[in-house]
Amino acid sequence: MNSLLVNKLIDILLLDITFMITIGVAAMLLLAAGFLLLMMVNQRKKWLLQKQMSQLKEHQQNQLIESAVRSEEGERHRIAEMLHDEVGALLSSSRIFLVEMNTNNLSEDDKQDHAKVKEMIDESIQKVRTISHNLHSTILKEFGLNEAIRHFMKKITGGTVVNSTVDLDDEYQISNAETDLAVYRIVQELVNNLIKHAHPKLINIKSTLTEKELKFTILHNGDGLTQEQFEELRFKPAGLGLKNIQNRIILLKGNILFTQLGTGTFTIQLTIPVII
Amino acid sequence: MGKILEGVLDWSEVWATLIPLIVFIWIKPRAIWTRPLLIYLLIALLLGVVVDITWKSKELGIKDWVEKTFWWLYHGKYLYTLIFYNINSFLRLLLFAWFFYMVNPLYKKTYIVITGVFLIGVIINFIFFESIVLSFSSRLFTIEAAIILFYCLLYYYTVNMNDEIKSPLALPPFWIVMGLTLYTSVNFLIFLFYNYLINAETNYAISIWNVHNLIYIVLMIFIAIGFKKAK
Repeated sequence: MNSLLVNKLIDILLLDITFMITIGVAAMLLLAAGFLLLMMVNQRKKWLLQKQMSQLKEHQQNQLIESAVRSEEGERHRIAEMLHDEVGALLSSSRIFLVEMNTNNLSEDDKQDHAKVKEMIDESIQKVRTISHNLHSTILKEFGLNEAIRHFMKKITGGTVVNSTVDLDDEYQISNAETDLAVYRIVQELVNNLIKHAHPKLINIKSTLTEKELKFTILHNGDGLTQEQFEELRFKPAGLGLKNIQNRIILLKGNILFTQLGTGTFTIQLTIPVII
Repeated sequence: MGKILEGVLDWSEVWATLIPLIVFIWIKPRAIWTRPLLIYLLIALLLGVVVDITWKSKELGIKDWVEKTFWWLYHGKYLYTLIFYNINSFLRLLLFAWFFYMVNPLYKKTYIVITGVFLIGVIINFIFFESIVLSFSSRLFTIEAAIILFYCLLYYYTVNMNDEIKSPLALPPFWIVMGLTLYTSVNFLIFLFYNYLINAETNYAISIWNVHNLIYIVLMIFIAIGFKKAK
């Protein structure tokens, strides 16, 4: 009787153990699968949150850049107006007085000085006009981006050893005044930098318009930059001009690429998305 | 049908191991972390083949040859292949610790210390407490599974801390760690009670080992996917 009871107890115990192990194994499988699933869902959520945060950060950064660029443009406009309307007007009035001066009673030396002063005032008027124009291009406003670039290139390389050619796509019409101004400033800064640092003998500016983008290619034979050098320089305090270029490109959601084509031949490709 | 399924599961430790090996030969992944896995797969294949041909020698008609070649596995008239399982478990931990050392190097010292202590423990266990030849070491298998599971958790922690990862499934080692997690967690209880079950409930022990074999197939498929993604 006792041995029968013991055998029955052993049977129950064994059944319980096998049952418990089976349940335990199934539970472990569910636990592991559930953990893995939760981990993947959590990771995706975290990534989405991180993405949203970086988008927000980028948006804030763009707003800061935009406000800095706008304030810079406003200041340029103000200085240009003051130079043109106040200094320019003062110089023009001085010139009128100088021209109307009776020089008959002056000695030969004084006459020469008078002519010299008139010449210097003329030169000053011209310089004020040039600076004012560079700070705020009326041509850009009146005749559009292409004409402003042609005019700028003619003025900056005229009378120098730099030979420039401009081949712009006339299909491009004014799409957005702010975009045009930003592109103009980028081209202006790039060409100024080229003349100042790269000392090229030839600069060629070409633009092509496609359905989605406006592409500028600046080809030159000076001592140009590679993309790595550009990336390095724009983070240096001295590379303020390059930083401004990069800021404007960020605002335009465009792209800039510095490439060395061969010995002494470089290109700068500027790509701007446009809506036609 | 049942016989075929039984045969497929019995031989799974051989044919399933071939899946990642074939993928490895086909893809030739360059990632350095695939090396310990390749070594493990080759060892597992060799041990799997030896276990299965000695165990199934009668069905295969090679009983005499097995008796002559593997005479040292016989104790009395009984054949003991448990030594291969024990060696497999011991080498598996070493090689997967090496794998984790490479894919999650943040915890290098942890792997070295834990694996070192485990090695010492294994040696002491087989010298003083259990026979490496005559017993299935539930202690070895269970502790090995727990340690690998712990290494998996460390890996998940590192992945979870990295906000740059959009989907962990894009990481080739993640597939292998996922396979290891399933393998060790599901088999933990099987390993823990297996020594007892062999003696007390042999039929159940044989049946539950099929669950091990199924999860082993899953592990091998996940390793193969990891290799494929590591191209």
